Amino acid sequence: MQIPIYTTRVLATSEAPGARITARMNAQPFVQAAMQTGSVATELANQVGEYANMRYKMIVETQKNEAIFSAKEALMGLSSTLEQSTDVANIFDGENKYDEGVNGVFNELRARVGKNKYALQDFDSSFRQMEIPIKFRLREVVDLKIEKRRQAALLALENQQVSTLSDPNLDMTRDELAMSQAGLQNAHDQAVANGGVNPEIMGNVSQKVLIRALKNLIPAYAGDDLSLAFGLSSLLDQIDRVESGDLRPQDMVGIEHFPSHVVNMLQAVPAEEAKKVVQDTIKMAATFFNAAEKLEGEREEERNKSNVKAYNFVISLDKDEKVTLGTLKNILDYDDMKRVYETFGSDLSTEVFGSTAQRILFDGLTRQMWASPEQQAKMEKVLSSDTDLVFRDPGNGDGATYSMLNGMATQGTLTVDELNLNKAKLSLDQHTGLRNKIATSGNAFVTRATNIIKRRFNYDAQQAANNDSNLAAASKAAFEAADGALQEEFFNRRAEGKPMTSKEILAYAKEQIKEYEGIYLEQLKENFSEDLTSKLRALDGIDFNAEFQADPLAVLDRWYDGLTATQQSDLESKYFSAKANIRKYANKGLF
Amino acid sequence: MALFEMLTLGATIAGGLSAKSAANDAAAAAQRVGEFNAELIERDVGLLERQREIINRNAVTQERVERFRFAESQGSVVNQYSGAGIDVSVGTPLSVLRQNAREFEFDQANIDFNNQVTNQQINDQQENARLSAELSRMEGGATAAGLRAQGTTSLLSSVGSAARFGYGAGMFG
Repeated sequence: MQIPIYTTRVLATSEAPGARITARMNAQPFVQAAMQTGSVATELANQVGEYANMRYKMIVETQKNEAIFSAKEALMGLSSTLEQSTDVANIFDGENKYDEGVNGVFNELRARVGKNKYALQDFDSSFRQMEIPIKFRLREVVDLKIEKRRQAALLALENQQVSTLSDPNLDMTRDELAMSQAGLQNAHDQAVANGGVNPEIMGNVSQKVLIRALKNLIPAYAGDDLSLAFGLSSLLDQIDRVESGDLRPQDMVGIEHFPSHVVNMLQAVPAEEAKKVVQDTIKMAATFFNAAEKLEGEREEERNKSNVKAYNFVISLDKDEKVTLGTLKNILDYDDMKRVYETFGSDLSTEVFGSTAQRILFDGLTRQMWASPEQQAKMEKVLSSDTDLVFRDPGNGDGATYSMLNGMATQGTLTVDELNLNKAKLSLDQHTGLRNKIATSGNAFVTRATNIIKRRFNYDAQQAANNDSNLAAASKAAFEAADGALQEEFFNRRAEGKPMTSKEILAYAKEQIKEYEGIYLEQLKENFSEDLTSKLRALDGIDFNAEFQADPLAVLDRWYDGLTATQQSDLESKYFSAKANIRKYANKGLF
Repeated sequence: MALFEMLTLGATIAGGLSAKSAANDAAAAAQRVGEFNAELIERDVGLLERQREIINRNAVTQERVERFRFAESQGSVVNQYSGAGIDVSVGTPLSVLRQNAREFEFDQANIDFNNQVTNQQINDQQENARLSAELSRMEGGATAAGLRAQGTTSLLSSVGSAARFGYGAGMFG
């Protein structure tokens, strides 16, 4: 028997146990995570920084721009100031005001930019860019001014020479004249040599100066004397003949009557220029002669006007009336007034009696032998009379006469004789007022102001002069008061030596209108009431009530339209009469 | 004005500091990762050592088993020769046995040789793993150093920017 034998068939594995771990950690995600975590804070800081930087840049830029703008303005201001400066020598030279000013502006405005170096660099660059054209423009202006000053200095030199040579009585020989001219010519030649002066434009300076001086000299010597001017013409003729050899200098006639400088000057300038100047002088002298004649005529006329006033005063003054020296000053001529001052002093408010004033005025007129025999006789009669006609007491003057005379005075037809004829019916103040009005009637400004017052108060001088009852009493009263006040003020101011100006006259007239307007309307209303009350009594059914006063024509028309045909026929004439009466008061501020 | 200047300056430096801090954190992370990977690789060295032990033990056991089996095979040969009435003390059977023994020893020598080769391979792999771990650490360190340098660069850059800004803004006079 074969015993079973177990034989192992399992072999130990030759493979080594365990496996290598190949997993590896990648550092990148962790690095990224750490970096990203940190980048949040970094980004935050960066954003904050960027924002702050942006704002900072904005502020810096704004400050820089403002500074540049201000700098431009300041530079233009500086330029403008220096342009107007007369100290042209110290702008770019000497004190160098321009550079000093520019540095001042630069430093002041640069400080406003802040500390940012780039902004400062930008400002510096912009400032220089701005400054350059301003500087050149200013330099141009300054150069022009210097040039003008230079020309002005030369011109002043010329003018001085012209002024010196223009004196007809200048004591200067021909040689001295030549030397003086040479000095002037030398100054101009030097200016030409230094440049900047055009010799073509300058021309012959010395000749020009002589001609200019001659144009002053000859009229100054003979411009207002026709005979001297003709004498110069004759002298010039002789000079011509001497120069042409037709006449010897020692044979010249009448030369000794002319100042030597005049003769020298006439000889020094070209003959045609001298002729022209002398001819112009003859024309001037002729014009002067005519003007003098005309002036004398006007003076005569003025004197005549004053004498008429004086005459009127002599025959119209009351012996006991008080007259101020100021009033006399407006009438008397200078010689007579001088005597008045010597006697009564120079205070124009000093008053003298009418009799004294009459004597002074009479003496003045007699001295001038102005009055006609009739006027002279009349004045002597007035002066020899011991008594005056007695004026009415103040406030008791005849209103109708006064209004009539005032109307005439307003028209300009009232004479002193006419006034004196009515003297007995007037009070002294009425008489004085009318006399003053006659005296001031020639003044155009017062007449214009009077016309304004007339229009406002519906005053008609013609109606007043004719004593026409159609002229409303209110108009008369208001005009006489306002115009009287104006005349008195005008007369008094002139007597005080402070005559009213045209503006003052107008203002015063307006003031018076304002003052008397209320009274005028009240008075007008009263007149209207008086006039219409009696008229309305004849018209049955219509009253002078508030409705009627507000619109009288409409009320009257309505009333008339409401009547029957028969009634209308009966009352027609009364209706039209009332209507005409109402129309008289229309457009006067009543309704 | 001064507020925005200071804010810009402060924010620029703060940005740099923040970047530096982030780079430092990233460097630490890189270093940690390098260390971690090195530890993983170093585990392979231990593993190979254990594999070597097992392979060696296995080779010893195998040799024992093979010797036992060889001895058993030689005994069987003797028995069979003896059973056939062949004297096994001289002549061919002994030669066969001797030849078997030489063959067997040759096999054992081959097996030893193979085992030595395997051990050598394990040695190489262990060295490789050690070097890999070292490399991993070095890489982590290098990455960390790079990141730290990057952070430092950012910080320096921000300080530079702040300095330029401060100079431009005229903060230093």
